Amino acid sequence: MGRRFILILLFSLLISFPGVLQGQASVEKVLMEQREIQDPMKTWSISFTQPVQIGTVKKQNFYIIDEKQKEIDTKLRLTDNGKKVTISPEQGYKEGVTYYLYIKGNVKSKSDAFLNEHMVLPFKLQTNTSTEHANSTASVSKVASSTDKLSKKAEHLLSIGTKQHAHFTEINVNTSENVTTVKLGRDEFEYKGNSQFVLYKPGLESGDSLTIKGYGLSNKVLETKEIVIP
Amino acid sequence: MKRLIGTLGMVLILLLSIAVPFFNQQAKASSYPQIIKMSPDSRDQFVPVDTDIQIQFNSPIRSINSQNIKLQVKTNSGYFYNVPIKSLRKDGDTLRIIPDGNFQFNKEYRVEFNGSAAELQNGTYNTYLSYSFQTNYIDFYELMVVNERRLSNMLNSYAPRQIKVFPPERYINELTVMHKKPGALADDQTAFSGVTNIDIVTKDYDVKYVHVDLMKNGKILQKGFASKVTEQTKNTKKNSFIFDIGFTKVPDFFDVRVTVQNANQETIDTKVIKFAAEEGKVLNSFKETYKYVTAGNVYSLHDLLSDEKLFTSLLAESQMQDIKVQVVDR
Repeated sequence: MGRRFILILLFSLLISFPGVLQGQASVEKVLMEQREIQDPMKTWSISFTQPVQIGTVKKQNFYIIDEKQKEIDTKLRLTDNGKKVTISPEQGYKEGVTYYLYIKGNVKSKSDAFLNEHMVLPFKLQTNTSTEHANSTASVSKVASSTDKLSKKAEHLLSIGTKQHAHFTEINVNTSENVTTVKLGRDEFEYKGNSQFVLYKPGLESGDSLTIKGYGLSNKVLETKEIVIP
Repeated sequence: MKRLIGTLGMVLILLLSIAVPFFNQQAKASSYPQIIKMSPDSRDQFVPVDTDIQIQFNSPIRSINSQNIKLQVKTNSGYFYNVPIKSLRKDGDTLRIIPDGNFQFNKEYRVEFNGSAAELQNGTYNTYLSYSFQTNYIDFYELMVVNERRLSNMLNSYAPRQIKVFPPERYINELTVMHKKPGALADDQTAFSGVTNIDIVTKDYDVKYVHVDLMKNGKILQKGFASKVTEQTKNTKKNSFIFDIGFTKVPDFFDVRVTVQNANQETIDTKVIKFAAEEGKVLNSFKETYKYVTAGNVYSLHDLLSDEKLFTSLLAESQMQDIKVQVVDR
C-alpha cells in the first residue's frame, strides 16, 4: 500500500508539475569539439559580450569533471570588467584523461539575461615530453599555445589523392576543419562536404608536380603541399 | 525450232506483262508525296533537348497546314499533351518544326500529322503520321568517371562533335555567412552560442524556394527555408533575389548546403560550402561569389577536348552528375 502510494505520488508530481521537467529539458546542452591541450595547468578563459553577474560566477556554474564524473578542484576568477571568467585547475590534468569543462545555462549577465544553455567542452592533455611541464601557468600557457600552432600548421591538408581518368585527373583532398577553400593554382576545388574537396583537371600527366594550397576563412593560406602525380 | 522460238516469245511477253506494270508503279509512286527522312528519327533515344524537328519530303513544299501538325509530350501519367510550337518553316523540301523553347530532359515526344499537313509540288501530303522519340540523357559523371567504357562505346558510334554536353543552368550567384559569437573561450575561441545569418543571392527567374541545411559530419544540425528579402538593401542587385535565414546555437565549424527549387519544388541548383570560424574573432563572415562561363550552354565533346580552359571551367563550375550528355544523329 505504502509503495503504491509513493508510485501514485510520483506520477501525480510528474503530471502536476510538468513545467519543472520542461524547464529542465528546455535548457539545451551544447557539446563542443574536443580539444587537445599540452599544458597540464591550462587555464580556460571564457569571454562574454556583456559583464557577468558576479553571483552566478560560482563552482556550480563553472566546473571541470573527469571521465569518471569526478569534479576536480579549480579556481574561478572574474576579470576584464566582469566580461571574462577564468577557471584553473588546482592540480595538473592527467595525461590521456578526458576532462569536461562545464558552463551552466544559469550564468546571468548583469542585465539578467541567462546564457540559457549548458556548454560542455571536452579536452584532453597530450604532452610530447614531460619536460615541457612547468609550474608557471602564464609562461607554460604561452609555450603550449605556440606549440599548438606549430603542430597545427602542418595538419590542414590531411590527405591528397589523385586518380587518372581518360580525359582528366581527379584530385581529392581531405582537410582539417579550418580549411574552407582548396586551390590548385587558380583552380578552386569543389567542396563535397565533410571536409572533402575534389577537382577534376584535364591536361595533367603522370610525373607532373602540383602545388595545392588550403585557405582559411579570411583567405589566408593555412598550408601548402606539393605532390607528384604517380 | 519455230515452236521453241514461239514458246520463248510467249514467255517473254508474259514476263514483260508482269514486269512493266511493276516498273510503272514504282515510277508512279515516286511522284506521290512521301517522307524520305525524319530527324530525330522514330524511336531515337538520346535526342538533344535543343533539337528542331526536320521532316524531309520527296518534293518541295508549297504550303504548310499548321492545324494538322502537332507536337506532344508524354506526361508521367502516360497521356500526351500538346507542346507549344514556336514556328513551322518550309525549307525547300524540308519542314522544320521549331518548339517553343528546349525540350525537357528524359521525356518522350510525339510528332503527329492529322490530315493534310503540307502541300507539296507533287501533291498534298495527307497521310496520317505519328512517331515518337525520347530525350533521355547519360550523366557526364557516369561517362567520364564511373563507366568510362560507356564513353568508348559511344565514341565507336558517334564522333565527338555528335556528342553534346549540357551543363546545367546555375541560379546561386552569391552566398554570405555571418557568424557572431556572443561569448567565447578566449584561448581556443570556441563559440558556445551565437547568431548565424546566411544570405543567398539568386537569379531572379525560376527561383521560388531556397532551403538551407547546416551540417556537420554529414548530419543535419539545423535547417529551414530562407525567406525572400522584399525591401531594398545595400546588397540588392539587378536581376537577382536575396533570400536570408538566421540560426542560433551553431558551432564554429559547419557545412552549409543551399538548395534552390522552382515553383514545382524541383531542385534546380545546389551548393555546399564550408564555414570555419577563425581564432580570435567574435564576428566571422564568409562570402563567395559565383560567375559561370559554361552554365546553361551547350558544347560538343569536340569543343571540350579541343579547349582545355573551357573543359576546366566546365568541370569546375558544375557538378559532373548534373551535366547531361545526349547525341545527335547524322
